[in-house]
Amino acid sequence: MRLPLRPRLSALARCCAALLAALCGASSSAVTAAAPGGHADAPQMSVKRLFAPASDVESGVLRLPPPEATPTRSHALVFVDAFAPQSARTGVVRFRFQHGGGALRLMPLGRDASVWRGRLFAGESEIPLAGGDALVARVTEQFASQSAFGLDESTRVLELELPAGECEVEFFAEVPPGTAAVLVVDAGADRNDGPALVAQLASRVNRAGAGFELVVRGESRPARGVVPATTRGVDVTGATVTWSDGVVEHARSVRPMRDGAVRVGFASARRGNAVVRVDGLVRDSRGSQHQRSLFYLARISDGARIAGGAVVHAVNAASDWIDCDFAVSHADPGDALFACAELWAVAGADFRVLGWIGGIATIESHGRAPFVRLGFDRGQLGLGEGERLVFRNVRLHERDGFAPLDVREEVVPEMRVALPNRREAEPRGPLDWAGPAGIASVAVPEISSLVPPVGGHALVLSHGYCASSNPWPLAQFSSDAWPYANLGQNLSNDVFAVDLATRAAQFKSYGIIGHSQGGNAALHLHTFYWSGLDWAGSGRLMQCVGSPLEGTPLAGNLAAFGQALGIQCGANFDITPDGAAAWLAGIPTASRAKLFTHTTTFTNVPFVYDYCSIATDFFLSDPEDGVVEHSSGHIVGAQDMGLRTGWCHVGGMRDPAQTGDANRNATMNAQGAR
Amino acid sequence: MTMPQMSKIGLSFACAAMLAAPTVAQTDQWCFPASSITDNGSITRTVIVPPTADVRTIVGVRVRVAATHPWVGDLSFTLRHPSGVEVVLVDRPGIPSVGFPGPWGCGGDNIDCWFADAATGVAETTCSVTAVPVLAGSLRPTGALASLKGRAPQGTWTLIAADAVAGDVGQLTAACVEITTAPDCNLNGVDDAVDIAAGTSADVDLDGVPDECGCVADLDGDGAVTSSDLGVLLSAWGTCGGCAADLTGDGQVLSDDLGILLSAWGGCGNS
Repeated sequence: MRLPLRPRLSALARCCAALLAALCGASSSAVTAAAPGGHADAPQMSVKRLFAPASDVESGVLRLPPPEATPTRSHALVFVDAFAPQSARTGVVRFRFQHGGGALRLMPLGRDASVWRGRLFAGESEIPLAGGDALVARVTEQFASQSAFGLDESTRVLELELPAGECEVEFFAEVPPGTAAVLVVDAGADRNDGPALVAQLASRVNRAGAGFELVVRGESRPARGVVPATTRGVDVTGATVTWSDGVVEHARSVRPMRDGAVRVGFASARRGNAVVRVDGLVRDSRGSQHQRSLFYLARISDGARIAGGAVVHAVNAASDWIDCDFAVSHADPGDALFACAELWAVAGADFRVLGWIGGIATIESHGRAPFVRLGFDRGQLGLGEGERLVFRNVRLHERDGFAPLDVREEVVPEMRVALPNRREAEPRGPLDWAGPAGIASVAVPEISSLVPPVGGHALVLSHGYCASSNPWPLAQFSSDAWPYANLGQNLSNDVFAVDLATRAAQFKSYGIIGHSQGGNAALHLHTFYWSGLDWAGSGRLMQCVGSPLEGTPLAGNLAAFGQALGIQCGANFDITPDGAAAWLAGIPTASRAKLFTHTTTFTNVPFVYDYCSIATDFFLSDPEDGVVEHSSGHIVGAQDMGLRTGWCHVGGMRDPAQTGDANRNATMNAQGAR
Repeated sequence: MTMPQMSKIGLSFACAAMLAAPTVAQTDQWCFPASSITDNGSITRTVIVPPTADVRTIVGVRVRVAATHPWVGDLSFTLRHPSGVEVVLVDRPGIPSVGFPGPWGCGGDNIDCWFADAATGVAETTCSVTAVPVLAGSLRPTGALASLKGRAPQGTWTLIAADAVAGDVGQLTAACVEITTAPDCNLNGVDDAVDIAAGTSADVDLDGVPDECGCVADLDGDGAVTSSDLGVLLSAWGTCGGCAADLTGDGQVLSDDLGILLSAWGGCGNS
């Protein structure tokens, strides 16, 4: 298959895509994939109606965690500016900041950033920051190759020690005026003890028109460290939101809270991805102030809401399938979303959880008020004496991005069918969806014409987000391995999964080995849709390496730098910690159990380096592979295959690309289901 | 005897006579030989159902098919009656698909089921990711086996098993056709007892045989089965479409027709 070439990225874009494409690279080609919609003439794909046992609810696997569970931290200060004319051929850009003292790392990003000449003024001192190979005493300069991200340009990181005080950095370069420049400043000597700016959304549900708030605070240690973080006060010095169309709005309110946190409010008349920038001063344990900036990718949605009613009824007299129709409002019939609800048996003050139902569903109306239909099999639960069924934690999410649309604590249904007695219920497999009554369809993008049918059974090797090529070395796999390629794309997990299934539909059945977001897409596909994955034979159905299953802190920065520098791949809410949490809250244990997760990290060479990519090390907590933190690459319920040292996310980092590990590839190849 | 004079006992007797007659409905099972199914091809297996002493018609057919195959969506099975009439039992279950089970049809393993018109489950759309065999129990075929009703049972029956996709291979481990027949001496394709009960045929002597059957072999219509009838039969020997000499209704005039004629030699019974 030959794909249409996309216009070559500008040098600047390619350079900065180094960061922005950190989940795998820049692009040279693309395939148009229509956004999923829900209309009758579109091609259909069958969705699974999910049922999870009570244990999944009791363990919290299917609960939407509170926003404070997925904060974004920043130890860095980031400037975004543009070169101003200095002479006929050169431009200049200046950045000023307050340094709290100690070690300082500077990383310029932009076109030819590795050869920008510059100087740093600190108090009375002037320190030249020569470009190219001219290293300067007192400054350690490391070139950070960006070839890992499919780029042929590098940047550099300057490390130096400075006393506390005002700093100013100037860069000169032969670039056209207006050329974008970014400077990342890491002003904490030891980042694990250094103060961080921390933010989280005030609410999981953020609707267009309703406004949204971030809760911002200071912290003296990452929450993922062994020692609990200490909350510090913060002075918010600036807060803006940049929408996907480039419109920038300032915060409409900044409200200090009693606990030292600050609530920063924004008007949100728009929907879509919102890149929030917060600047603040955070005090460390000695009382010194440190400037920090934080980029937060929020998703502002607008769509269906839970109307409050529900009807439970049998499909027909001959069927064991029971439909649960949840009334919704602000919804257009035909649109698809994700819905779920916990099932509880209530008798007076007593209650017990029965299970959980969910799935991607189309909004229906059939001449009455719109509703979303979920369901379960009669054999999956039974009620005891005097018990009645209620739904709790009913949720609606966007299908594309999984941002929560609405959450309702309890919905009491109208029962038009008697549920089996508790003793008579015959427990059945929690994820046996067989039977036409349990099957519904939603519209999917029309791209199936791309795949001529060949039959057979395959091991699909998937790349990740925004990849420039498929990273798996085919020579390390057997002849039935097939490299999925939809290069240079920024896809939600849902669109990615549907695209994967549509292209792999040329095979009767397959297992998937997914790199990076390819692993997320595989899990999404298996959980929510019927596909060739369901017909694979014995073996490991899904295996993933370096997948941001719980998101990556890079996502917000990627979105921000993408907006600033015009990088193509851009914001992806699914791979933010918030987006991942919302997504994972819809994935039952039975699906997770079919996923085998691998993570890697760098070889720690004391006093030499302790990172995969010095560029992304600014934003990640160890151990990490240059893109994904170890702790985010494994999830509860999946098969944790461990952390392997000496491999990084992609090529061009300190250690080889994790997809090139021949030993692991041989094992995954041998164990993979087809 | 006139109907108003029939007593309750008489009715009971009549029924008893019908049930006791040697020509009640009977069910026989005829099995095809087991065989591997050619990958991306088809096989035909046959079984010969011999003629019966009396003229019988099919009143019911069920077919059992047992096959091992890792992807039943590749398979189709067709039953062919000796007359050439075919009934598709199942044709690549799961195809066409609107999403489930997918473009390649049902990917489940193995078949061990009875195809029967009366079944509630439909073979074509039955599929599960967990059940093995995936097609099991009693399932309604794609075509109607009822289309074989009223036809003669004897002759060569054929089962055609086809595999539409290369790669996955399977074996036909068992296949049988279960044929229920009933006497049909008047060759109208209806069980004689049904004819009598419905009043389509008279049975004045209450022997359970339609009165007109006495003359089934009276091919020249002279009220007796004689050498002239034999001549008519012999002149039609071989293949004949719907000719009177085809006493068994199988489309051919052969020894089984001759046997019927000879057994009726002489008078025409009830006429």
